[in-house]
Amino acid sequence: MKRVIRFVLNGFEVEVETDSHMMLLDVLRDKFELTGTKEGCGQGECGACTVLVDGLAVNSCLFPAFEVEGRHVTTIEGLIGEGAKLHPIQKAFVDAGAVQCGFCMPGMVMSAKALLDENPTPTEEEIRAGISGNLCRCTGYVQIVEAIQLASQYIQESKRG
Amino acid sequence: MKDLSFVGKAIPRPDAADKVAGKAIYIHDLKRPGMLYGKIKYSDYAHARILHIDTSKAEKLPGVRAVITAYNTPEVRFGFIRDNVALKKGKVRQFRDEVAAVAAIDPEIAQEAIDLIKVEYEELPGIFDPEEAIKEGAPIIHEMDPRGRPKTDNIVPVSWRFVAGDVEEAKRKAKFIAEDELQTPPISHACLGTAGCIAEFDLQNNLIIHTKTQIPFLAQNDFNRALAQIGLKGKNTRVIVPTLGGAFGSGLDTHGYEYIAILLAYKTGRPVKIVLSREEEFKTLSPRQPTRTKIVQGCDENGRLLFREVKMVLDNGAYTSWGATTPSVMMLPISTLYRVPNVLYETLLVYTNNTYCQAMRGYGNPQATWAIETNLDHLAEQAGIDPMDIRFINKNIPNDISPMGLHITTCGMEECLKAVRNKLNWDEKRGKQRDKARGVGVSCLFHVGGSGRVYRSDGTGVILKIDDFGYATLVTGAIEMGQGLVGALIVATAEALGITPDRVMVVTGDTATCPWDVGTHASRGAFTACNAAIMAAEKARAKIFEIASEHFLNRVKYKLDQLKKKDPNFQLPDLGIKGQLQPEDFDMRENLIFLKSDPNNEYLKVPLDELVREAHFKEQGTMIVTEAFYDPCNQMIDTKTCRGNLSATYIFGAQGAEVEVDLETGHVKILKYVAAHDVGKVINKHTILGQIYGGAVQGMGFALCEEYKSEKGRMLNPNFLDYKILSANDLNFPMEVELVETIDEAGPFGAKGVGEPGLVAVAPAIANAIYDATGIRITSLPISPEKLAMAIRKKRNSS
Amino acid sequence: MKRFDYLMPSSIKEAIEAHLQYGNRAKFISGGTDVLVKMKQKALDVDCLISLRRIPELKGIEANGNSIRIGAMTTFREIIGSSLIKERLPALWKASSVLANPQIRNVATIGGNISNAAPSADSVPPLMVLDTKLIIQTSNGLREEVLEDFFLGPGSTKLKEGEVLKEIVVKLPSLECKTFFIKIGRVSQDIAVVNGAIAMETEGDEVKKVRCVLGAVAPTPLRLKGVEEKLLGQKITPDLIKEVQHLAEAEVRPITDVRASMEYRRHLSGVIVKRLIEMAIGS
Repeated sequence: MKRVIRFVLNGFEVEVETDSHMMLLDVLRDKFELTGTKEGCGQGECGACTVLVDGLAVNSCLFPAFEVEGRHVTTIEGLIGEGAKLHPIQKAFVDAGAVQCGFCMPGMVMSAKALLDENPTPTEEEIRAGISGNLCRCTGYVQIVEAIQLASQYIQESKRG
Repeated sequence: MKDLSFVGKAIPRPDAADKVAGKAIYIHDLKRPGMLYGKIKYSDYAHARILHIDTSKAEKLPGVRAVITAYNTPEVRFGFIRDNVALKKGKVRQFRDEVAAVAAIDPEIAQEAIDLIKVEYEELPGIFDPEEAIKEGAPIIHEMDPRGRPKTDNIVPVSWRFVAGDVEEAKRKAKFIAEDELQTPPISHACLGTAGCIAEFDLQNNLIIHTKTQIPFLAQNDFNRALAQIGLKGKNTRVIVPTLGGAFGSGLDTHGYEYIAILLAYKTGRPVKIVLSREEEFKTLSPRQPTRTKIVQGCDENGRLLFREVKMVLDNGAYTSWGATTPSVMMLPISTLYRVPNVLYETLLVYTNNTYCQAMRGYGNPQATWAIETNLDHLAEQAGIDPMDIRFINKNIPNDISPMGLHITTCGMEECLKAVRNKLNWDEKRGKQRDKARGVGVSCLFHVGGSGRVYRSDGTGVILKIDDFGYATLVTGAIEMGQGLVGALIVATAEALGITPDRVMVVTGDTATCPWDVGTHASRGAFTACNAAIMAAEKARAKIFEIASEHFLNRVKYKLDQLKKKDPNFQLPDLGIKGQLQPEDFDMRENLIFLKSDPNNEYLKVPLDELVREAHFKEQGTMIVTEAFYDPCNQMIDTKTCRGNLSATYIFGAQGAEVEVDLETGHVKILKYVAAHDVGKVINKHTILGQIYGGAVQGMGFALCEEYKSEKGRMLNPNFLDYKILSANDLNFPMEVELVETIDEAGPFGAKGVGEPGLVAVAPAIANAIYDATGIRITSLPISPEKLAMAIRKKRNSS
Repeated sequence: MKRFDYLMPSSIKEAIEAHLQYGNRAKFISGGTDVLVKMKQKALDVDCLISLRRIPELKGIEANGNSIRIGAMTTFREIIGSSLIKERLPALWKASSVLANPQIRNVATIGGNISNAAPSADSVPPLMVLDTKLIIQTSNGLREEVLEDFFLGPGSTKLKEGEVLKEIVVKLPSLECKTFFIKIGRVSQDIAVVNGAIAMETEGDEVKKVRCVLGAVAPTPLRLKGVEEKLLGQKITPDLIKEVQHLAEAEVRPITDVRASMEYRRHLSGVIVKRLIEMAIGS
């Protein structure tokens, strides 16, 4: 069955017709051509498809498209500011050398955002638990953890001044 | 070495921002106008005759544009001994065999069509154990060899045998001997970005293929051969490589799905995209070569190694790919890890109905080092020598030639061992914590660090282009697959040229526009491409300084005149220049050209862009474009004698772990991990650490939890639920990296390749630590909690 | 994925009516993290999924006299965030915090975990060691099932077609009752190879009350009645623990699958029971 769903995508009100068996991931990539969010496994194990729905990190590969009706969805594309400015979390990942092949990055950054939104100064253990649903095959996570610590610092700094 | 501005620092890589912004385009994100989607039908049996393929229903499904089988397409044969075909005819030999394929207007319709294809098989007995496959009466998997000659056994006509000295004699002389049998399973690359391609033809029937590959030019060659087989001999292929979501060796081969995409594109006249799902990636992409190894090592009363004998039986799977050549690399540690005068290495490769294997990070070295280093600890115990000490006693040394003919130049093994010894507090801990089920373990490693001449050419070409704005574009055929090649290249190019890294743009991944490169394997990317970049940069500097000798003073005087015009009181300085300036008078750093004789004079500096424009925008102008082809001073291994200096330099390392074992559940907790690597020279701190951390963690997976499981040829765990790779939550312990810089003159700024070494020593280091903690030596990987717990239980019950 | 209809009723009544229309060609879906994976793997084949996400009566955590009521559609994130559950049902809290990963916990629900009826379901042992009942809405009104008797086999429960699991009602354990949960996986984030919970009350040195449940060692989560009998009225000694460990190993009926062998699961059963007892008396 088809249906027009209306929701807020990266701050903009949008509407799109979609099929009942589609997942949010398909809608984002195919209907909106927001290819930043990736499919890594399709089964909710790898986190490459992580987006925020009403501020919560979810695997968009298992999030039925119809369920976004009336909700706020934030994808990796929603973090870029005006003037192609990287979000502090993204900048931290670049500065900490945490990026290799990059495929896990959009999902990883979104999980980091959800984590820092809820817990602005997490311990290393909390960071590792917070990204435990995001698999990375390249980095061994060391520089990713450092990036999230740096991101926390950047965000605190920007709040202060 | 002169003062370096950027080499050794942590410089953000140029592709990082796009990747964290979600803007990088991977094969999954790429669309071509009019594109169709391809899907593949795989075999229902491990071994069977194909009796009949009924594609009639699939063909009629609306939205389907082509259905192909071996029976309605020309045969496309591939593989390095050409024993594989794109679509199977007559027989299937493994579950992942491709029997048919569909191109349709969307992936769902394509999958529906696949499900409508009905194949009739006559099942044949399958064989899944190489040692069974060589027995009398075993079912024959290839009844004919690739040349059409009858075949009556399952032995693969690829074998390896290395002999140095006299092992039998050495066995008689040895005071202590240790013997072990060890196994490693197949391992999936598990790249986050799965494999895929888009194939299309232009109107002259040349092929353009966007594909996940690490070998664009060798792939071009493979695809051109395929074109010849489908009736397009003489046509050319353009291989374009999108951003890769990891590769780890999986892109060193060309694959069935690529040839199928080409056939579908040819049949439909439209671009056809095939992207593997995660399940397909696990089931149908070749994993790391599994091994069964028998090893014997012996030493004298002082712990000096006298001999090493290694015999391997290798499950080749149903077709032959790079898994069969891993012994050519395994030979390196087997002959050269530590100084061993007498070595025998023999392999037997056998066809089975299991999946076939390809290259994976380390290319056999992790499997060989697993055997050598585990057995060495066993030998140390026999000899009553501390495992750390026995390694110091036998350590590799600089300026040595190994039995295989490898020329070791720089060698930081001793420094690496010392680092592990100190950082793990080895002397305080080894043998002293068994009551707490804690232990420390060490392993060394040795790998190619200056590429490896596995093909006749080991070259990498670059073109360096300086534009009118002082920006340099470095164009190379080497591939960025996440490992950080671009991060190393911007540093090396900037440093060698005399500009800043932010002004270097790297272009890769297009056989039509990039200079030839043999492939990004053997940890060679940064080593060869940076060396080539340095060569090209030196040529560019020569041109720039040539131009400077003509135009530098003009620019200087022009600017002084401008200053004077602005401020009539300005005093024109005495520049102190007599006569004509020569090219050798100049230097360039951080985008500015200046005189060597007066480097700090602010008036005697001209930005590069001004000079280039000066030379370019005039009659009979000139441009600055240089090229270089770097082919290292190394050799192919002689296939008969197995001798040759495969690499231009070698990388050494030592890794160590402190672990704590839960004796009841078998879980191994790493308390601390140390990775010490002789890297020659750090080019970019970010990327080198990334490679070592990343490699080490893949090694930990190899050691503790990863295993491609199969039963009668069927893969049992084709998903992340049951093929476990480590998550951040598994790794909450300090990982210390020690970078030993031995400054090798073969390398760019002294650097060696580090893509693979991080992984090589992990499994034995951890296993050796587990032994220290528990007294139990596990000889098959992974050392899963189950395996360890049951071994502990068994030991407890028997005592 | 195969095509299916997706309905989003806003009341239980609507949901039940929709299900009755489709019969066994429909299935209720809560967080979707089990159902959708099964659909993708073709282990489940239905034409319609009926979402329970927008039904307010299925949400909420509240204390109700001497029990806690948890709406079936309460997510694990909400359970972890509930100080009431953290304090009064700490074993359930622990199980919720090690289930899957953060993204899954944000949408997966306790009702979904129970109805999915995997023998390894993490939320079940902590609930089963206490007096837990399930309130089920049918087209004819409400009915109750005791959690312990709810499971029929792997993936199979007493929930009938057209019935909605409405809430889980857990009788609060007394303050003397110690409850613990252990999960053993292959790595830190995993489906349980074996999991288990204990609820134990001691008076002086003696075990006054005890219940012990292990998951992933039988077709349904298993109460180890033999172990419980052995412990009841006894003083816990290292020898008793050892005996009980052997008893647990004999009592379970695990299988070998891709995750673990029967032997290892049997072995772990003994280990987990031992550790649960040690934790219960240690506190």
